[in-house]
Formats: sequence, structure tokens, C-alpha cells
Amino acid sequence: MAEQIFRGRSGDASAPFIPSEWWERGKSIVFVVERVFRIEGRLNYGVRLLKPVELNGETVDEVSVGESAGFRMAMQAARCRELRENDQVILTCYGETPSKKPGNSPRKDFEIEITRQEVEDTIPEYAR
Amino acid sequence: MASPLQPFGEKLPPVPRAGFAAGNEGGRGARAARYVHTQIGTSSHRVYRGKTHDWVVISRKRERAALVDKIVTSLEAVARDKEAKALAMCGRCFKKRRLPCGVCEVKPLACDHMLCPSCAAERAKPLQKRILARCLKSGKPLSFLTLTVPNVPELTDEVIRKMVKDFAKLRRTGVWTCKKRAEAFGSAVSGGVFSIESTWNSKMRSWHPHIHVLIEGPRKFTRDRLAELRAEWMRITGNAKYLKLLPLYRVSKRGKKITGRADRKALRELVKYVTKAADFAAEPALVDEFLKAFKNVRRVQAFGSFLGVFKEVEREQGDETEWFRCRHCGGEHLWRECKDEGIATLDEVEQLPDGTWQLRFDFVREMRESVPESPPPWELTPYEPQHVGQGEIEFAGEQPAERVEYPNLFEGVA
Repeated sequence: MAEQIFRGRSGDASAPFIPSEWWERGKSIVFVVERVFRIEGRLNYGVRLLKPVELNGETVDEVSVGESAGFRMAMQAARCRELRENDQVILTCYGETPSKKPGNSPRKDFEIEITRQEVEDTIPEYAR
Repeated sequence: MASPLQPFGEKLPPVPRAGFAAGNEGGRGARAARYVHTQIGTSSHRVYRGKTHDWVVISRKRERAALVDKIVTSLEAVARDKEAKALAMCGRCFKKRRLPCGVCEVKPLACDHMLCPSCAAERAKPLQKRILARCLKSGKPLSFLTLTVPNVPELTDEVIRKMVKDFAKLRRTGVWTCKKRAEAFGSAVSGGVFSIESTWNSKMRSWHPHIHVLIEGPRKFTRDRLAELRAEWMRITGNAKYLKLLPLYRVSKRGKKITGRADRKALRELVKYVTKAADFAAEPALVDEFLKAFKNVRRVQAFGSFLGVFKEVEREQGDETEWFRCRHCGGEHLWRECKDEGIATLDEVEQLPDGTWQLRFDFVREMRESVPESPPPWELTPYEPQHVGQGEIEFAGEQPAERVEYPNLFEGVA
């Protein structure tokens, strides 16, 4: 399996990433997006959870969520390119799909619901 | 500053605009989403919902549509306009049928073209079901054999028919039937199913015809038997030297591999009917060559103990004298009692979550159609204004000779 190297700023990495192994069928998190940042060209989101979760033996309410393949596909199905700050998101894992290539980890399948306040469409420019 | 989750039915004060994270910004310069209270009103929210599997289906449909587009263009280029039109309209026209219970059912019309990916998948499903039922009934071990012939620059029906005949010869050899062989050689191949395919190698610019075979019988082919099988295939064809034999397996619910057994997934590779047309769909000459070579060729055939498996599928097409159970009312109807009501287009139907189609409910259109085309009971005659000249005005009656002054009744009243 190819080695991956992550580089970034300390501020961006202040919240721990949710690893792929943490996700199981039925697990769900509800969060608000606080920060959007890139690492090696891939989008990641610093989020504040509604309910704290346990990661590596610690209870945290601020985590980072990376754009895995299943996550990105769920976003594309929802017709949403990327998350923005202040988006309210419910992310649920409903299963996993084994990879066709040997040696690759299975893809986690997600269901996503994003609530976003759309200013541009509903309020005219002069009234904002 | 993080905004708390908005409780249901309540308004929260506006959140000051959060700046972007310094460096490595994401979102392609998108502004932070926030809601705004103004005199006109509060901005509404939008909800986006999606699942990973939905995107798998969407991208698969897109790829299919792009492939069909290429094939249609190629068919038009080789003057196969009728086929091109049928392929382009596949699944876009619907047959309306009125059932005795009053429900109007719509079913998509299929083109049944050899290169149509949707029709190929539909054709393969009942066959896979039948073959799987037959495999599970016998309980004998199964293997997957692939027989190849050297690549050919031009694909013709002679190449295909020779390959099928050579395979028939192989089935009569001793290595296949185990006649006059020692017990250690193994059991005979009792039967199976084979499918004929041909793929295009764009680098070598040649066709690669081959046969996939599902064989039932021997638990394991010994090395000697496999070598003899390879030698026999070489002798019969004259030049083919590659064949591959793999034990078929299925994965149990616990993830364990069970060899010698089949499931739907394993049979998909054998009976898929789908041609790997993506390699040659963009070249009209190759599409024409492929269609001519496979004209009137049965691409999936059974032999030995599997004979008769496909006959039952052909019988299930819908006999007029047969009864069927209606999925709407639960009752039983005769096919001949159903009335055809013409064709519906894609804008008149809508797809339900379970994949079936129904007529779109259009109240206004139906009301207009139900009102008979007759004039209203009252008849309005058009009004024609009369133009009067500005010169003379005729008064009715006589003109008084003198002007008469009448007394003011209110004279002297304060």
C-alpha cells in the first residue's frame, strides 16, 4: 500500500481526524462546519460536533473530516460541490463496499444531509 | 465563530461572517453561508441530501448514455438508421396498457439491440436466474473455463462458427467425457453453459474472440488432465494454445469463500450479454463488422445436462391465454383482456422510487381532454358597433315652437 504524507499547519490539525476505521454501519455524526482547509490538494473540514465522540480514548467535540471517496460521492449525489462554513450536516455511515483492487481498504458508504442558508437566491442584493 | 444548530421553528440572530482559514483555503473562494434577517424576510435554507450508492447509479447511467450516443452515431454512419433510431429511443417511449381493474400501466419499450447495454442487462437477468436455479439443484461442483483463439484482424461469422464447432469437437474428446480413462483421471463433464464473446484490442488493432464456459462435474482437474485438455484444444483449432480453468466460488454471508458453488455474481461474468463495446463503439466500421459477424448467432448456449434450461425462459414471454396476478389490485387478469392505449413519451410519465413507471398526473390536461369539444348552450353574436355621423342629430318627437319658461319652484326659499 502506498505511503501517504500529510503536511499542514498546526492550526489546521488542531482537531483530530476521524479515521476510516472508526466508521461502522449505523454510526452517525451531526456537526457544523467551522473551517475549510486543504491538505495536499484535498479538501478537509474542521467541524464542531453536536454530541462529542470518543477518538483514541479521548472525548472530543471538535474534529476534522476528510473527503474520502464515499463521502465525496455522497456529496456529488446531493448535488453539492463542497461544504461551506456554517453548513449544518448529518453524516451517517450505512455500510461499506469492498474494493476491486487487491490491497485497498473497503470504501465506506455514507448518507449525507446538508442544511445551508442560501442568501443569494432568496434575498435581493439591495436588501442584504 | 460557530453558529449553533438552529432549533426547529425558531429564529436565531445573524452570525457575523466568519473569515476563511489563513492559507490553504478551500471552497474555491466561496462565501461562508449564513442567514440574513431583513425587512423583506429571513433567507430560507436549502437542504441537500445524497447517498454514496446514488452516485454510483448516476455515474453508471451517464457512462451508459455516453456509450449509447457513440453507438448511435456509428450506426448512422454505416446506414443502419432504423437500428440507430431504435437504440436512441430505447427506454424513452412507453407502452400504455389498460388493465381490467382500471389501472393504466406503462412499460418502457426496449430496442432489444445487441449493443444496447440496458437491453442486454434485462436479457441476462432471467437467464442468470435459471442457470443459478439449475446449478443449485444438482449440487455438483462447478468450474469456469475460458477458451481463446489467436487474434484476428477481421471478425467474420466464419471465425465465430468455426470456434463454436471446435468447442463441440472438444466436448466429444476423451479428456472431456473420461471414456476409457482411469478413475484417478476424474469424473466426466456432465454439462454446462457457454457464451461467445469478442473484444477489440485497440493497441494491436485486432479482435479477440473467446468462449466462456461454465462446466459441471469434476471437482478438480489434475495437472495431467489440464495439459491434455490444452493439447486437445491446440490440435482441434490448429493454432490456439491458451485456455484458463478456474474453480467457481461464491462468498458466504460470513465472507468465507466456498469453491465449486455459484451465485449471481459469479454467473454475471458468464451470462451478461453485454458486449464490451466501449472499445470500438466510436469506429463505425468495427461496429458494422461486429454486428455482421454475430448476426443470427446464439451467444449463450447450453450443452449436456443443462439442455432445456433456456427453453423455459422463452416460454415466459406472455401468452394471451395466460393469467397473471395484477400487482395493483392483487387480482388475476387475462392478458387478452388488457387493452393497448398507445404510446406515452418521457414527459408524460414519471419513475417511482421502486423503479417502476406511472403516468404523470396532470389535472389540467386531463380536464381539458375530458371536456367534449362542443359550443356552449348560449350563443353569443358578435357585437358590431354602429358608427354615427357627427353632422346631424335627429331628435325623436316634435320640437316645441316657442321656448317655454317654467317658474323656479325654489324662488324665495332661504
